Amino acid sequence: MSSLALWGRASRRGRGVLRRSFVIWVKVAVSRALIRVIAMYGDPLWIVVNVGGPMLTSLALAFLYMLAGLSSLTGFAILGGGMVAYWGNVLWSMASQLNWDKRSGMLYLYIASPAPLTALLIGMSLGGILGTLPSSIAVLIIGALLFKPPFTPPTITVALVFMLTLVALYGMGIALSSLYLILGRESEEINEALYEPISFLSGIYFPSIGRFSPLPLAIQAIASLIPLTLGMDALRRTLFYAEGLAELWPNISALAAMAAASILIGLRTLSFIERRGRETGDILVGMK
Amino acid sequence: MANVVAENLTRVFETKSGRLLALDSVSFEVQTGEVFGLLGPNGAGKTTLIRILTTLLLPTYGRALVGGFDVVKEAKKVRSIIGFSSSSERVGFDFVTARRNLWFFSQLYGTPTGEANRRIEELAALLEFQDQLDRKLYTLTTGYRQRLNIARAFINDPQVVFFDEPTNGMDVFSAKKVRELFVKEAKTNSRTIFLATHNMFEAEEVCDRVAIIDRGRILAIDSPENLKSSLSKPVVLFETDIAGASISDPTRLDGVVGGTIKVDNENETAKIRVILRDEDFLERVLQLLEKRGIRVFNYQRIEPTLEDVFISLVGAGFAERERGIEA
Amino acid sequence: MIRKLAASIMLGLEREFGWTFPPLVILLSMIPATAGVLTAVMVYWVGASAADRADPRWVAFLIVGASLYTHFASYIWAPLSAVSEGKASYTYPLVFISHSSLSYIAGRVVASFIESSFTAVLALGAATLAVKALLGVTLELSFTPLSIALFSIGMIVGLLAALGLGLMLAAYAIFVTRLEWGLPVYISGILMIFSEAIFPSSALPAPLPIIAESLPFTHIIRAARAALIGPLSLYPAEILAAALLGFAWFLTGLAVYTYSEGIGRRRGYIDYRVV
Ligand SMILES: Nc1ncnc2c1ncn2[C@@H]1O[C@H](COP(=O)(O)OP(=O)(O)O)[C@@H](O)[C@H]1O
Ligand SMILES: [Mg+2]
Repeated sequence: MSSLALWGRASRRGRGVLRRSFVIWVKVAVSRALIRVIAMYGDPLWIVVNVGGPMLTSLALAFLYMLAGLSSLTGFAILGGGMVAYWGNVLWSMASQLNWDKRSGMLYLYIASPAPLTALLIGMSLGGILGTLPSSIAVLIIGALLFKPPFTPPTITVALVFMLTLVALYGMGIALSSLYLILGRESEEINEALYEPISFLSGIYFPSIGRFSPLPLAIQAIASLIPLTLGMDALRRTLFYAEGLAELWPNISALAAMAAASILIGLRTLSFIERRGRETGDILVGMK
Repeated sequence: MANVVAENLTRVFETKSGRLLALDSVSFEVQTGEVFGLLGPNGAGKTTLIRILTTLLLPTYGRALVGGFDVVKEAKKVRSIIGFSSSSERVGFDFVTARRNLWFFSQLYGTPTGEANRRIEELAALLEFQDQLDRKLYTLTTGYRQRLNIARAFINDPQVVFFDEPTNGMDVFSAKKVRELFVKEAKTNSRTIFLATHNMFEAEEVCDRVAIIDRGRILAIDSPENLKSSLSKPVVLFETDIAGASISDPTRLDGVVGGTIKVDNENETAKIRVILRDEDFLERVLQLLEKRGIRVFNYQRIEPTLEDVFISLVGAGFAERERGIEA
Repeated sequence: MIRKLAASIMLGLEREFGWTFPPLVILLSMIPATAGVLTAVMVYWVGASAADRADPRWVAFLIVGASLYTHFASYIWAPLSAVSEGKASYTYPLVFISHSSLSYIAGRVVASFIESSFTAVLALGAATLAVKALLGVTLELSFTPLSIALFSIGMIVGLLAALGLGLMLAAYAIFVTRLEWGLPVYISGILMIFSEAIFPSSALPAPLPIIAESLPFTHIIRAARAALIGPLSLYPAEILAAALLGFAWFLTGLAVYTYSEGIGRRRGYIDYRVV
């Protein structure tokens, strides 16, 4: 047999392996997302509970906008209520996920199976987004009905910015979940302490960067490092100031870069964790 | 065919109190269709060994093959042909049905959904929890939940299945079902069942061969019958008054290879079970007990169990070993 | 009774602070509290600047109200979590059997109150400084021994009302075993809107201000503003209203809780974990 034929056979086998791992990857991600969605929608009460915090906060803040100055700005608060749920989902259920999985023994099964951790985490994010969607939409609808804020009808740019923001946000969730796995239990307290300050800096409810930001430039620069900040800023500018790609390209390209970077960091940390875990024997499984 | 091979497997943990040798040059082979038991007290190294074989932990030294694949270099291949379950886990999604949970785990292996569903039905029938399949996980009683965990380990049609103390804390009926399943899966579906346990009864009942492990070392490997019959030394059980509890170490008695003492505080008696070097020492032990003021109500020679095999190998029983570990 | 209460307070404090160095706990809870207060300030500032009428007095109004609101919102949960956590760990049935579930809950509330008082006062200070640094606005808050004492009295009066509300939530937790934090989320949100935390209740549409007037927290927040911003003459009436309403709430909470415990016992909910 010529070496060329041998090579051809090898690469065909290689392709087969590749296809098989791709199939597993997709199946794992889809089933993880599905389980998450089933768990959420299996109990409609969940949605009612989830909607409470963001809705009442955004109503209160919308009212404050109205009293403070212009009722045209109430949209900022309502948009914030719609978006804060994703941020909460990332921090409260994505970031701690691997730690919980470790405690329940699930992480052991994941590692000891051919399922890639990345597929599990991305499936988890997808499920989180789909699961958060109803509360987010509910807040937007209720807020819009009550305060009737003026906004430009959503365009492709809005969809693009929204999607990029979510990708960057959940990418951060993936990075955090690997980081928290290394940190262990203390990470929950860190989470608790992180949530509000980051919500503040990223300007979920008010413009924290740009022309309308009341914050000093130095703080704005720090805030711009958080993907959520750029996303919120771009969303506000498209929805309320009818800006398009021409004005928003810096935000969009930075968001894309951040999304890519955080996913990359997350994946790197994951493979580091798997390697270190197998060496030391205590990162992946809880010592009882 | 040898489905699990270990050659000089060694694992050292770096702990705060220094280096800990959890596995010390362990070698063995397990065949297809075999139920293989790893019997030893807590802290013996059973979980460590299973973690290495399931690719979760790297050996410090030595080599292991599972299904012909190297657990270090070909971890991915090993992972797709093994199953695993442990009694200390509490896995699964509470607000999702048992069926969906099992389906999810099958997806970790890329199993086609139709095939997964067929296997779920089959396993549920074997472990008798079909009527629980459509209930959400959090409504299941502990026994059913544990059976579900066992079923899960078989969901990917694995070649080798590892169980870490699977029936620990399980009710008697569930444990019986699980043990029957192990034997059936090994014999009719030619899987290798690798079972870590500190339950002697379980090891005797289901295992074709048992490896006795203590402090990271395998002391003997054979069928339970052979292990017991290889113990030619006599095992004698003395029932004494409570003063018998004062003997802290039976091996101090002349002619005793090893033994255990169980104190029954309620009846104020003690049961001293010893393995004698040979028959002739029986009189000697009786005299020694009498000299210490211990009243012997009754004594008899008894059939050896796997624990006696363990005792004759290490000089102490599981309970003594585990107490030593806590100390 | 006193001894049981003290023991429960100690237990609660240990739970709040036990995991690490106590000042770190305070710091870690002060940061989110301050950030929450500042969010409200920024919303106001952005809105008011756009309309060209930003007013530092409003900011002072907001900071006092929002800090106190954060304080209440963070510790009215304590009884609910004592019950639901206690049910999960079987502590609650044991406490219940020992006839001291009330002092247990009260103790946990007091412990949580202590932590969140430190947090609230520090957040108030930090927010004041932050406003100066970020917006360049100097607030006319009077931090004198008297004003701080009056402010603290307000918090202590609030303890009674919060205990009342907390007991009602604990009663609810006896019956609910899943998603039990759903109700407190709504209650916190409602308090934010109605307790005059970030805007005057008079701004609410017609019948709604009545709700605000009947909340003891509204009066406590007003009393605190009278102490720190002025006029001081408003303080006595508000603190009295707060005390009376708080006492009424406390009695209601007590009645609801005792009654629910009775039902819970009859129906076997006390140690019932899974629906
Ligand atoms: N990750 C780890 N780090 C340090 N020591 C460990 C680790 N895992 C196990 N050990 C130690 O190794 C020994 C064997 O443990 P293990 O394999 O769990 O025993 P078994 O499962 O037989 O009870 C014990 O002394 C245990 O404390
Ligand atoms: Mg073990």
